Amino acid sequence: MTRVAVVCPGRGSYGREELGSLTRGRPGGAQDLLQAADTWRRKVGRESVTDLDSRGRFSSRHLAGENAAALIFTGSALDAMALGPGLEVVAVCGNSMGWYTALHVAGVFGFEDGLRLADTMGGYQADGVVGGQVITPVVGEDWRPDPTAQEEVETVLQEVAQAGAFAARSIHLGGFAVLAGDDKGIRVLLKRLPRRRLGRRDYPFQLLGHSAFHTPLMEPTARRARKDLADLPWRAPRASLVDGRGRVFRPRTADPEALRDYTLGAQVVTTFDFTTCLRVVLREFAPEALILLGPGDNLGGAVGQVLVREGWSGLHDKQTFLDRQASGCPILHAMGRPEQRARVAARS
Amino acid sequence: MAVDRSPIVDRNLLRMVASWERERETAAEPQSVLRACPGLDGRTLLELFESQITSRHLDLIARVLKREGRGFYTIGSSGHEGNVVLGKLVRATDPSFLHYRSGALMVERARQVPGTTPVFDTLLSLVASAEDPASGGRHKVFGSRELWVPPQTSTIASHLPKAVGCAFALDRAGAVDWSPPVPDDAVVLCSFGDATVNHATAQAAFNAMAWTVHQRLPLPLLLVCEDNALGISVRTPRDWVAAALGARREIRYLRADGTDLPAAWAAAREAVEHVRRTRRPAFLHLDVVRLLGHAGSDVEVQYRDEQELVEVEARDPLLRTAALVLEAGLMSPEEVHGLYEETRARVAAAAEEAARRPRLRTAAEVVAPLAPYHDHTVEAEACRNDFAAVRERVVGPPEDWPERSERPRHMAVQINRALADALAKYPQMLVFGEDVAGRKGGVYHVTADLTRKAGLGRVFNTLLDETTILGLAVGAAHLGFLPVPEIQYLAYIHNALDQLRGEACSLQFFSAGRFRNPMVVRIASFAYQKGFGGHFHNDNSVAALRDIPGLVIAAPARGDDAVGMLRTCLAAALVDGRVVAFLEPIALYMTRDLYAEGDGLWQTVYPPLDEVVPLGRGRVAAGTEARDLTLVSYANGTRLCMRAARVLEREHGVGARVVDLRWLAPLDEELVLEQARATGRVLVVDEGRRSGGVGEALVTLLAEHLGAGLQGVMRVCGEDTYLPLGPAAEAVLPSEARIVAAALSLMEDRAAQRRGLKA
Repeated sequence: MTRVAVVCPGRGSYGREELGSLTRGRPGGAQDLLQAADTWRRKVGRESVTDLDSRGRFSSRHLAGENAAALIFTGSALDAMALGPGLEVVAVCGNSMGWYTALHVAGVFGFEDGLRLADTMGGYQADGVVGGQVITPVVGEDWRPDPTAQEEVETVLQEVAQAGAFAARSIHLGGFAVLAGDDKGIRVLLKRLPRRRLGRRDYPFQLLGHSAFHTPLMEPTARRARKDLADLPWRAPRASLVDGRGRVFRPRTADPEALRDYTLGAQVVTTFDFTTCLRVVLREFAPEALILLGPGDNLGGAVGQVLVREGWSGLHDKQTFLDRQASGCPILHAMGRPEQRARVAARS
Repeated sequence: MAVDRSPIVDRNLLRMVASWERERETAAEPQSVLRACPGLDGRTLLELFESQITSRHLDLIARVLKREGRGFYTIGSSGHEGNVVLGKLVRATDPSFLHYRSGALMVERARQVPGTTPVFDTLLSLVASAEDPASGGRHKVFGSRELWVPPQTSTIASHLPKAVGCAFALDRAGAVDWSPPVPDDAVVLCSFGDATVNHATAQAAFNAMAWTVHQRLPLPLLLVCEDNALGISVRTPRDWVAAALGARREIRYLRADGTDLPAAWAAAREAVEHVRRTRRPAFLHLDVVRLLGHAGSDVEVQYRDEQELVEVEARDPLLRTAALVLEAGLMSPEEVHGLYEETRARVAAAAEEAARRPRLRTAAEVVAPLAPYHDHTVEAEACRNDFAAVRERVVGPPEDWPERSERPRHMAVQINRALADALAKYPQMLVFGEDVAGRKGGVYHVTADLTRKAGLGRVFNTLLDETTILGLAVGAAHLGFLPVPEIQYLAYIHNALDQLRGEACSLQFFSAGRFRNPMVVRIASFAYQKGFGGHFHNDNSVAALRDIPGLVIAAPARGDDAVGMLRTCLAAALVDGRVVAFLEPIALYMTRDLYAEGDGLWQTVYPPLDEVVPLGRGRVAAGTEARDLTLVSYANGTRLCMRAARVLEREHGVGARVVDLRWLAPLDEELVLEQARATGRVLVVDEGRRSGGVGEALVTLLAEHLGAGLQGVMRVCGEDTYLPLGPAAEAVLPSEARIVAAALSLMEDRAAQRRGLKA
């Protein structure tokens, strides 16, 4: 058995490239799950996941909170189901809304309850986006921490406060800082954060359609969720879960009430520290490999950056990570990439 | 009989689980309260069990790593895992000083702070990796900034006095206009073994604790003795710990079987609640067993027969917790087996990663935490004078401020003034010692009236025990106080030296700079009290201080220097966490004159607040232009040298410059070399002993750097002796006459040259 940790991606992991990935080439077992997703979606009056995934063209419709959440949750759940034998899942974690998927993958919820959680949380955005999120890198091209960039973020956050606006750290995302704030805060962030280029992208930029998740601005949303989801049946997980603070919930000892309180409380309104979360997964569970569920693979960079930050398994910069990935013994298997998926998915 | 018992202990649990046949009593839900364990619900019990198992596997892997040459420490926690209850019951914000068998406690405590990684951290420490967050690869310790666990490298029992000090300081915060960075109702935890109880340092701590409580002063301290009945191979007499500590009126004593979780839980809970609620100490005595020997290198079969070992192993706390868990139906035997093996795999995999992590390689890397020094910041802090309003309250109205008076005063008065100003400047500063409070302010009145000025909460007398005084300083400093303890005489530091050497000065090193205990220890020092007092009031030996890594040693000769240096010392403590020994020359406290009676030249005016003496900077005290000879000295020696220089000049036509080192560590090497080069002849005048004195360092410095470039180097120093009573003391100490004689003999070659020229 290979000891692996499963990482569930968050918003932004279903894009143009992923169109059709949920429905095409899935084995028989996946159909039941897709059908369950579609049924549930229709029941709440939303476009089915199958229809969304089968559209001819990627559009803003796919990015809308309620749709993106359902697509990603369903895609990840399909991938988790497809994991082959010979893998021992020692820990499960996720980034941001990937936490909801993680709860399902670790067995806290069945598929439908998990979908309801993800869909409900994402769906609140249909009533209007609250503030926004901005992303900017805090590492160099080699993925090593860039202290200057870190300081700049701190300075700009202070400037936002001085300008009488609100902004805070939303997600510690490996080599990126995701900042969130109210509308004025976002304007200051975009204006004041220094321009940086990493890979082929220019930063900072605003994440379209994203509310100011993981900040106190989401308090009303959290309150609403606690009410709307009061009847959600919380169970103890079957696999160890690591949350966005780095707290470990273990199968026999996790308190379902604590899971609920976190998921519908602190998780929504305080910084989601994916960096620490993955650090805890690595240091306390020491998996032989990490599996990044699909759809998409764009969390892979952040995962790689955490591995580099931790110096895990001898990786100390982007190149050593890429070399390792190209070797016969890669450390990260992204199921959104066919060649990597083939290594960990069951043969259909 | 098997010498290595670890495979046996390892197998015992698996065998016990495999042969578990009893019917489940109930199919309990984790949240149900277990009948067998009042106050302990099923989920909590399972959490404790998980932590116990994790700790066990850390012990087992430590032995594997050691065998493979990848790990360097095997003292483990096996048999002591009952301490896990304290990991749950004591808060992660309660300062905790833990001994080396605290694995289960630490793993459990880490649950309280998300994001902590106790397994990997412990492994990094076992393999001495530079990435070990507790000590940076300098020691295998349990320590964590996030978990408020300063690492203990303890020379056995040496951590007890600071635990007492920390607890004392916790509740002292109420009396001071300053709060430590822990909650108001925090308590202090300190753990140790049964053999430790007998140590003089432990006894000092117990006594100090009782002494404090006896006066109805608060002391929220939980002492935990994990009694495994052995000190390495030496048996502790049956019931000795109970006999020694069970009946002290001032200390609440509780005893429980530490291998039995419900029993340990109940006693620990009562103890913690007692301390937190009453702010009075408790002594929790947990009977435990020691499995796997004292350390991996300890061949236990040399002193325990197989039957005893088997009996002890049968009391393995993991077996007992497993039985409890199985009886309650909280887990099936297969689940226990699964948890045990899954933890083994997890720890083993993490160990592989940890063993690859870098270790310290160079001397510079090793010593880095000894020198995180910021001289400019220190100087700026020392000169800061933005506390006029408080100063007015503490010292008096501006017209009484000492720098406004032009009247020169002697050193004792100046130090007293500087302390008063410092108390105004630093609300977190505490002054304490055997006899410092009140109007008198000690034998030499140096702290006179400070109690009235700053309050009894900040300037107070302690009991007569240097270990306690320094322990209090270390403990208080952990909380952010700025302690200025006084040791009455230099000779007395030696009975408590370990509190400086093994504890205070080692903290930044062994915590890789993550913890600090800044302090300025004032010590009335040196000889020349006009034949008064005998050795123990005139001790002149600084050897034991000089080689303590990182310790600053100040030895002023003049009152104004003493003030400027004290300001710097306090700032260095605050900014860089430094520990300072401030050696005050007793014989100069009241000295007024330099050359002749009534000249008043040894008195000074009080330097303005922004005048300081930079750390490690000596000065030329006399004869800046002299070309013949350089006299290098400190404290009493400086004054003697100045007198001698005058004689040399007036009576022998020899021009001597006098260097006052002011700091014995760090030494102003640059100044000494520069002044030596200027004349080519150096006479070192060291009132300390010939062996191990500062003089040795100076002569070595000169030899290494100038060598043959000098025409002559000599020492006049104290003899290698205890000092006798009365005038005989003068025979073994540098005197003005000896200095003059030595100087003239150093000049002998020049005199000869001159004679030759004349001839």
